[in-house]
Amino acid sequence: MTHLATSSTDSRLPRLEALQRGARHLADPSHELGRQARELLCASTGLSPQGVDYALRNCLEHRVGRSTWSQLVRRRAPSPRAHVLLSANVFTAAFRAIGLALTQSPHVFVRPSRREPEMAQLLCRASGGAFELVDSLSPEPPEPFWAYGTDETLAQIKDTLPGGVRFHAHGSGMGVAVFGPSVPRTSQGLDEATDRLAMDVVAFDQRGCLSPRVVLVEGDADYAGAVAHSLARAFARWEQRVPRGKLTQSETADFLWYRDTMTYAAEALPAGKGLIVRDPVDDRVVVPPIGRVLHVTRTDSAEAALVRLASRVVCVGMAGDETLEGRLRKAIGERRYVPLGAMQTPPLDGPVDLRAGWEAEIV
Amino acid sequence: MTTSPPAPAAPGDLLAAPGRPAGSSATRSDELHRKVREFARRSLTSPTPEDADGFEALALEIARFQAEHVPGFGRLVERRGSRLDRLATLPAVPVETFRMTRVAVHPTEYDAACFRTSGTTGSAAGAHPFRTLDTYRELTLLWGERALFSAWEGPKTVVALAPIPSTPPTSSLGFMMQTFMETFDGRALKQDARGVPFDVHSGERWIASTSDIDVSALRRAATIARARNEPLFVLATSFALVALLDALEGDSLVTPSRTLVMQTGGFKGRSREIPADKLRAAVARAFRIGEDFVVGEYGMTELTSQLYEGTVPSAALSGPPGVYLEPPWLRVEPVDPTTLRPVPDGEVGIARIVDLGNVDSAVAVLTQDLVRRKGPGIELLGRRPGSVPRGCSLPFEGLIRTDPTRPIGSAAR
Repeated sequence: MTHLATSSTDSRLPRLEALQRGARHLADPSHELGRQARELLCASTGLSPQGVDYALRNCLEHRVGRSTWSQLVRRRAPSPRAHVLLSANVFTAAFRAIGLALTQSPHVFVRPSRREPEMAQLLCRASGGAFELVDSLSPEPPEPFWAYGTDETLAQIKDTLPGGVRFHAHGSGMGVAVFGPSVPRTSQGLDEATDRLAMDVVAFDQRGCLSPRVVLVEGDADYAGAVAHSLARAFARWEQRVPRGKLTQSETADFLWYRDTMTYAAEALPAGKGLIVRDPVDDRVVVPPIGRVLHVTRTDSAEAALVRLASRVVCVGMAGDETLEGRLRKAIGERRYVPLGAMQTPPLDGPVDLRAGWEAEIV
Repeated sequence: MTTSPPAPAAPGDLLAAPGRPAGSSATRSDELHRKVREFARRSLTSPTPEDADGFEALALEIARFQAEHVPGFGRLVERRGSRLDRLATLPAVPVETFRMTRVAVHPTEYDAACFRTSGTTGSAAGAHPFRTLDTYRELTLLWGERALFSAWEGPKTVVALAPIPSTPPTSSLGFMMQTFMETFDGRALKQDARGVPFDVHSGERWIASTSDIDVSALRRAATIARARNEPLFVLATSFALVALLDALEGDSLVTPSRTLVMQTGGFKGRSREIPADKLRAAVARAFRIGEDFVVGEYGMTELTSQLYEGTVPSAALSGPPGVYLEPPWLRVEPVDPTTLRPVPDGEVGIARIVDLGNVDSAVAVLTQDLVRRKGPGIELLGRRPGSVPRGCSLPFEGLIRTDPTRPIGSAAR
């Protein structure tokens, strides 16, 4: 701890290390805090026990090194205080949100989501109070304010902030998976790719802003059909390892509505408790409900299809050759472009969506 | 607003593909149409206790016909594990399906008409193909006569706050209005119509463009009806009525003492929204009639039949305001959207509608309209809201046509 204290004029890094240590405890199922986290989060998130365990082990950034935090701290001008408003995001998002605020200030005030307060409370306890939980936030200019929620909520919040506050807003979004034409058509090559995509879907049962919802397949109809069927098999395998949790009533209603519509209008393949839909109409883009559901569309140009979804897309998962990312980036600009299987684990280099960039908006 | 017809049928929907003879299925369809029309007539003229069984038997017969000839519906029946032996287990086709694929037993070349939904902002239009309009016309007239036109005997003047419908018709509402004009009026809109040919497409009785209401044309129609000493029937959408109220700027119309306004549909973002009771009161004031004579109609492109309020004292239907009455050949059942099973009496569910008139499309459709059974009919309680995302994911949106867009809205007409 001594070297940390002397390497910085403030106590941001020690607090970040404490937060990081807390995350490691929560990720560890043999640690008392890890056991408690699994119990509490099952109840608050609706995920299955295996789903909570999977997210804590694989999506919570508990392996981030000190050097990463140091770099992030150096990039940010310090502030006496920072404020974080959490929404009922995927639960591990609380760690990243609080961590980013701690890179700016040693005094971070966090208002947890009323619908999902558990993770923030767990992190607070596990980190020995590296930040403060509060019922309401009162940022003053020019302090940073990190807010998470729906786009509508964020717009309302912004209107209430005092002028001069640095506002970092992070709204909702979705992921899109793209299969380029060069993916090996062998069953093994395809199954490996679809297994990785299934892994991205399984995390949080698709409730994340990085979660893939739409699959664009560049190639012929047979290729798109093969992708769909391979995905259905992959989902069924993952259902055994990490069962889908409970859907809310309205999520269930959306799921049934979509399932019955697509059973009539398309090829709807049972896939564990989820669903893979192979759309018979080329280039048709449908955003399906959550609950481990993918809508697979064949296209001659993933760029054109992606452009229609652009405002929603936060992350693009890719299977294809090295030209694919360049083409997609040219079409819709800066997003997270990652290989399939890495959509839920973006590097800890800033906000997950990158749409707002690192820089705050000055209210 | 961007709209387009739905995509072609999925591969494998052979009956929807050109070139396949419709022979046996057409014969069977004709027979079912005949049965439905007979059932409808009998149920109004000489209803019997057996009609309930007859409804179920006919609905299941139509469903089996559809399952046999439409692969998409066959798949839905199989997925839902229905044996099509009880009405309760008859799978309903979500109205969204009409936007995603062709919902019809017959191939396109046998279409007598194809009614299109207007679509909401950014969403795709749907379509409901008809091999024949005979059943549509007869069922519409049977129930419309009871709900509206039985209010007063004798000749009637019928106008619509709507644009002139196209030929062939593409709007189910326009076709319904046209059918009422032809049947219950049928004369040129002149004080002395003798020797003047009747033209249902004449602009003088279609008193709205897509953006404007022609108030002077409405005043002229009212004057003619008064001079003829006839009742005036005004058929209108809610947003057209709002546009009329705006155009009147608080003024009222000099209408015959026997005037009835049929009001249908929501606002679809085409006008400011007014609560139903306030709109009814304002319309009644504008037409100088009692609120009982502003009659709500509920229908949709995906259906053949309509429901009405039974508020007109002198008409054949009777029911309290806000309660929509089903014809005997249509049943609305509120179902739980999370199980698709009926909700207990008096509780709110989404509307599962079995319409025997939908012989060649989907005999049972599922909507997102919230309804509750009340007395002799159903109450309409708006649309089921989409799910509120629990994480930071986006809500279910359905078909995307442009970016940005909004969730698909209710079936328009």
